[in-house]
Amino acid sequence: MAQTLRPYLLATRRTVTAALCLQNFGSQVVERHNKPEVEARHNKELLLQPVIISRNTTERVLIEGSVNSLRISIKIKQADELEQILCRRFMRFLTQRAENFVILRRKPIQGYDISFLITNANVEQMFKHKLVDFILDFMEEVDKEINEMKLSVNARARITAVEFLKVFV
Amino acid sequence: MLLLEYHNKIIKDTILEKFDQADGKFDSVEILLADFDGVTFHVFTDQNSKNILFVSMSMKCYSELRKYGADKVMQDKYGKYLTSTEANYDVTVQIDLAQPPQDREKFATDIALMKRHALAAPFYSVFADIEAKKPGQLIEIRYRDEEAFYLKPETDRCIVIFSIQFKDLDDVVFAKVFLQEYQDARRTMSNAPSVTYSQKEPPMELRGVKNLRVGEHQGYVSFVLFQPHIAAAKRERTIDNIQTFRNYLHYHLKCSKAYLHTRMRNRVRTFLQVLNRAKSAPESTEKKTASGRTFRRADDPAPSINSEYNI
Repeated sequence: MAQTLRPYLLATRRTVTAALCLQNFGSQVVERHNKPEVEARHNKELLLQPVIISRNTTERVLIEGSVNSLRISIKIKQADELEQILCRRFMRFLTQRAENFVILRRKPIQGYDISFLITNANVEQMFKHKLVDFILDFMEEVDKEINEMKLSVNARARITAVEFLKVFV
Repeated sequence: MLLLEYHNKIIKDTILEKFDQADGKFDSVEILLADFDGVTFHVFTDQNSKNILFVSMSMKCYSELRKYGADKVMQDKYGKYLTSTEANYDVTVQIDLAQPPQDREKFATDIALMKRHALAAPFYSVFADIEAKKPGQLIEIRYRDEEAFYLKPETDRCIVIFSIQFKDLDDVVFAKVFLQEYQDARRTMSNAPSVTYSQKEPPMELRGVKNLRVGEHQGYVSFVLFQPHIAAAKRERTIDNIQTFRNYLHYHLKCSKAYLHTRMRNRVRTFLQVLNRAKSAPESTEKKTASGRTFRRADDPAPSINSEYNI
């Protein structure tokens, strides 16, 4: 199971680096407007083929590119109900602070847990390789964090149960 | 603090503080305070004689408890201190501050345990039935608005069932994890009471009881107390602890949620720091004019301390 992690992350890294070739492109539909084409989706010729990289049935990444913007959606592994709740809360924490995060999208795409939107303006202000590093770092850290939180809940449950029942013994 | 305290801290502290006033001049006191499970206390001094302190308690389920001998328990524990009950309250105790008893600490704790003593009444009655090997009835006490606990005596054991309502659906999942651990704890501690948890539907022991709540938000926890827990030596501790179970559970659920939120907030802050490292600072805009003068543009982000002006 762990062997699939390295190729999964490597494939994601290469795809994102390739898709992050963005340039400024004014809207072809409305005068003087400049929209991220991956969101507006008016013209087929400006959009790239979307790529889904799946680690397994429960984890995958959707990368949709276009001439001036890139959308990355991540589906995080949630094995049971507790992990689902933790993941949902964690993603809500992040999306509520989307303004600070700049590249975060407030609502994830249907079927995914969280989405990033990177435009040419963002790429002009930030280093491309550091952006890619951030995305991959994020994917790894979120999995680790959810595991740790689940462990802490279980540990706390065990300690409180033992303390309570010790009184009776 | 893992275990909740069984007594009411405010009442105990107030009484001890009043006893400690050595000069005999007592101030008037008027405190209205609330405890777990919708119980309210009223602590106040007599208008005429400032050294008399009254402590009144009101419990929603007191009329049910009275059926099982709560009045007798109050009489046993507080005897000469009991006085006529204040209006709208269920029990009133009167203390003469000028004549403190020998063991102040114990006395103050005892008064602060008023709620616990009241709730212990049905337990005493059920345990006595089991000791005397008399068959007993199922006892239901609605100690909260939407929740109740049930005492079911059997030949040599007592089953205590709590019906707990969770306002938040997430709580139901957390509670399942917590209660699973209670069930598993028996593996390490063989003398502990056995715990079972059923969600949405009431357990088999409650078959035939009317007005049972069902649904997504409902959970039922059953404790089976065996002979060693009911025996006289352990009886008081058993009653102390099992009464606070529901509040104990919710307290720890809230603590773990708060801890998770703190963790998430820290993690979000870390992510933000990593992202900010990706931002590139604009290059320094130090320029030179034709005559050789060096200057910086107004929008230069980081002016250095020693900038030279050569004219």
